[in-house]
Amino acid sequence: MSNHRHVYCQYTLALFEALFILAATRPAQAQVGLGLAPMRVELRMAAGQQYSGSLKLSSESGEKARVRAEILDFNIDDKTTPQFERDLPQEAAYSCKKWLSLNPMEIELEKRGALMVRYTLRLPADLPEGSYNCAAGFSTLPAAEQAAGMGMRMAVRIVAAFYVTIGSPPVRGKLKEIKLEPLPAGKESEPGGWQAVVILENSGLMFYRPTGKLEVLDAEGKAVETSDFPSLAVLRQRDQRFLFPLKTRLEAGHYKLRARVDIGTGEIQEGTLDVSVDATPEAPEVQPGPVPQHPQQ
Amino acid sequence: MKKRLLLTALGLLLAASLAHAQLGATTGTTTVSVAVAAEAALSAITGTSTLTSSGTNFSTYTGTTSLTYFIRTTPTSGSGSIVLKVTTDFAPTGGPSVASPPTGTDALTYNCTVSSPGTACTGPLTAKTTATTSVATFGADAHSAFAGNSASVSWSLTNDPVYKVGTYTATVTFTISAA
Repeated sequence: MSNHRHVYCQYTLALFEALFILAATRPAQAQVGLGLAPMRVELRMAAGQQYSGSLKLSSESGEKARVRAEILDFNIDDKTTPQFERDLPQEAAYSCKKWLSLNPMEIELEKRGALMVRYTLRLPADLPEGSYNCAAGFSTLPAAEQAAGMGMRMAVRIVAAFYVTIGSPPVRGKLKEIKLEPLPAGKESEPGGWQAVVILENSGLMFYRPTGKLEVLDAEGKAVETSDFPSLAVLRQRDQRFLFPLKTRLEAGHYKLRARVDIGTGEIQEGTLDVSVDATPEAPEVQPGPVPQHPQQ
Repeated sequence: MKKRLLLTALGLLLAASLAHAQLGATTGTTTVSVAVAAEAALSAITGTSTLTSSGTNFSTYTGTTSLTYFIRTTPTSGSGSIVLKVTTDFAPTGGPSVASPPTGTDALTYNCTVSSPGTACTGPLTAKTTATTSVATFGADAHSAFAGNSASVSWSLTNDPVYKVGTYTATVTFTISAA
């Protein structure tokens, strides 16, 4: 019986075929590049099962490239930046890292060459229901050239994310909080810049990807700015911040931040936050909130 | 003569065959399908970025890493990001350091420029050795130009007088993912 038959429901999201090319500014410098497909693999499996598949790793380098594979934990941090590390202790209970293997681990790709990297997931028999995630990373060695004076050498890592779901855990979570935070001062964010922060809770065993919008409403209830929720995974059993830097410079007046989001249950959860901007103070006055509303079908 | 006969016979056979095919032909349509997959590509056009200081004394070291990206994400659940991390701090010792700068205010910072449909990081951000920091994000249903879209990372490094004279190099790893 093939491994394929062991997997009663599997699907691979070929969301991306990514090519990641690192080239030199000057023509004399070596160009280094990598490609990988698929970039995300989602598998529905049962405890004790095994599944094998392959990732197509390719080179866009101008010469032979050495690539090192590694198996990684990952999470999404409070700035919505994915963090891929060899070991994230806080993810140990939800990581599929220890069941994932790759072959080969050390790779030499010819110029513009490609290679199928085989991955295998061997799940323990006593694995409890839930979603688990881990990643396969492929890194080039940094460019051999030495920068003149002060400088930096660039390397490339391309990552395939794995999501393994055991059983059929329901999505559980809620829109927990809406906040307004100042943007860090800098070139792109002039003083007075703000970002809305929506915190989604995942109290269940299954990751989810929310869909919905955040709106900035003026005193008349008219939307002056609308942003979609990014399709980020909210991993199991945690709170995830979603950041919405506001493009609108809030003039004096009353505003309302309204988030309407579906976490995958089919229900729209809504929350609002009242914001009052005075003519002189730099910081908007935020009314107590959020004001969670009843889910809408 | 014999060769000519042979060629003529062959020609007749071919003609008969073609005629037969035409007699049996019907007008129809053929379905051609193509699976258009979501894809992404990124070119970071600087294998080695030199940071230079010009102008006034101890003016900040600056440099640029240029990028070109290609992307096509799925309409609903597509997402992606490019992040960076200083995976090897400046070496040798005595110069700048991302993890342990000789002066607390020393820092390697960067700003991002990313043309649509990518979204640039909100800079300046401070590069770290302990965590990745954002360069660009891509949402669902994003489509780059056929020739790619441009992006760049503009570096700034404090030019601290306490740095010993020398050549210092760090390694920055760019990671692209679709988690």
